[in-house]
Amino acid sequence: MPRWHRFSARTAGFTQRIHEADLKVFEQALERLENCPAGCDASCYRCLRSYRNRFEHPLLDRHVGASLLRYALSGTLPAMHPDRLARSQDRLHEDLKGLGIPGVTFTRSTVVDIPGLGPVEAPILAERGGEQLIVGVHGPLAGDVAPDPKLQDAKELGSTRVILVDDTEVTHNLPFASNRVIGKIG
Amino acid sequence: MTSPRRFDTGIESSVAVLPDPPPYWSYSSLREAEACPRRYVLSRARYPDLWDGAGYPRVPRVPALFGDIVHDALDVIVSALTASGCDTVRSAEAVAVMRALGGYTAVIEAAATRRLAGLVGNPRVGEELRRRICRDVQAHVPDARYQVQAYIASTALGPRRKTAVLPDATPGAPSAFPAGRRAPLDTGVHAEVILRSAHPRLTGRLDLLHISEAGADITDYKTGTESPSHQDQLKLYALLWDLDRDANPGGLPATRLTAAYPGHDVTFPAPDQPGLRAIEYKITASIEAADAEIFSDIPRAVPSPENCGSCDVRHLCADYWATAGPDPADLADGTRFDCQGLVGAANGPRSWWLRPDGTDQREVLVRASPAGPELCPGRRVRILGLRMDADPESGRVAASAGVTTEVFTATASQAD
Repeated sequence: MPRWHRFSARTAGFTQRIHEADLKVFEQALERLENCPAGCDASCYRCLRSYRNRFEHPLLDRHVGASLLRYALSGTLPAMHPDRLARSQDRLHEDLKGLGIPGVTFTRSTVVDIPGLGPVEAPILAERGGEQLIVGVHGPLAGDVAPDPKLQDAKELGSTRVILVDDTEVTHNLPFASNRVIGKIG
Repeated sequence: MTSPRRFDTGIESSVAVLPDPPPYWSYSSLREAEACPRRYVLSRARYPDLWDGAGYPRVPRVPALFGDIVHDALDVIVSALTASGCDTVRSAEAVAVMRALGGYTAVIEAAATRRLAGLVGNPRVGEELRRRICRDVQAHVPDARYQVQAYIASTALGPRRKTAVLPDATPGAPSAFPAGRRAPLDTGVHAEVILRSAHPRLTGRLDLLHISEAGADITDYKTGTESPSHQDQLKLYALLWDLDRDANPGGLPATRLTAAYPGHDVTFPAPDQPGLRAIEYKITASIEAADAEIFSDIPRAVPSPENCGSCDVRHLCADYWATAGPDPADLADGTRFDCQGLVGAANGPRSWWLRPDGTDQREVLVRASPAGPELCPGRRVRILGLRMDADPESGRVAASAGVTTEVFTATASQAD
């Protein structure tokens, strides 16, 4: 634990206790992050928030923290909880629809047949004339990697355009996320 | 054999060995020579005291690198699709080709790696700048992936009758064609086709050429915004196709020309024969003028904000520095500017006083970041990319020098 010793002047006792607890402290932290007693959306005083970090409250997200911690502990690639993913996609879809762009339709959760790949579920399908654009959301720790392997194949191998938006953008800056999609539709 | 022509740029280690006109002009090289012959020759000259590379080392700009990487990736993908005989990008065969290539992201990352490898050994790109460029390019990979997929989605291939015929035979390889001749192109789709004409001396590299019994359609991928020059370039390609009797022995006409942008195409008919001859006449005159400019001992400079703003060799061009630049004291905070002057005393460990040329200009305090350049008192220098850094409390004229700021020292003959 060489890095922890940097803070030894102020936090030697705390560091020592973490060291003695071995991995248990991380496992318990992961348990708390994944199963917040309050079941909060992002963070609350039962999991991540305290008076000391009050200025960072809007930035704290237990799901992202859990993904990172799980990856550090077990090597499991960061993945978003399906419910969280669905909520983000719903928000983005509602916002895009609400913009009322003439000639463009946005359909939530529909199947697109991609030549050579077969049916692929599009989280959001934007259509203008005969052109299609599949819009998905990716986790903040998995840049440009689709949560669904079929969608990932469509993104990397297919001839239908696919754009993935960062969940953090949808959560914290929805207009920016929507504008990015609109910009791709042209 | 004539001795090489040399040009003293007045900057240390930068005596230029000037190039002769190229054996063939391309659309972009001709435009560059027309815009500013000095920039053309200084960019392409050899600098044996500076490095062994070709031309003057360029400072890469991330947007330009992004465009190059997208273009490289498209070359790889379209070449693979056409070589495998895919009729359409919307097919299982096309997916198999993409799977074999590793997917769009893998192709783009490989293209980025190749481009970034070219920065190693560039005397104008230090380690810190290289690290930043690599990081910025990496951050743009998802955007590049989307853009390449958008181009591919709108690419029309078509039936192919025979295996691809390489437009440029490997030197030394046995060929069924007379020495110096290239194979004629068959009907079907060809990617990355090099066309040449001896009279006028022209060459061009076509991104996509679709040959049918009726004629040839030419597509060029454009990563920038729409410009009338893109149509001019495509018309020149139509002329090249008409003139290249190796690739097009039957004189098949060009029919449609397409500038392919991300998300949309601009297609227009190719010029007819009178139109082609008019372009040929104009190009022939341009080439004669450019040849004469390049052969002169001191190629003409055409200083202007449009030409010099992004010129990579402006620090080597006395005409650029002779045009009166703005007094740094008049510039707004945050403005980037170039400055020529004499380095005075050090003000601190990383700051120096600079006396700009021009008697009325006040001294400028140049403050360098840890990754920025170092100045040597007593030297006359040309500095590119300073940034005004207002210091309202002291009233001093101050500028900051960061990782992208470059300092070039004048030779003794220029220092007086």
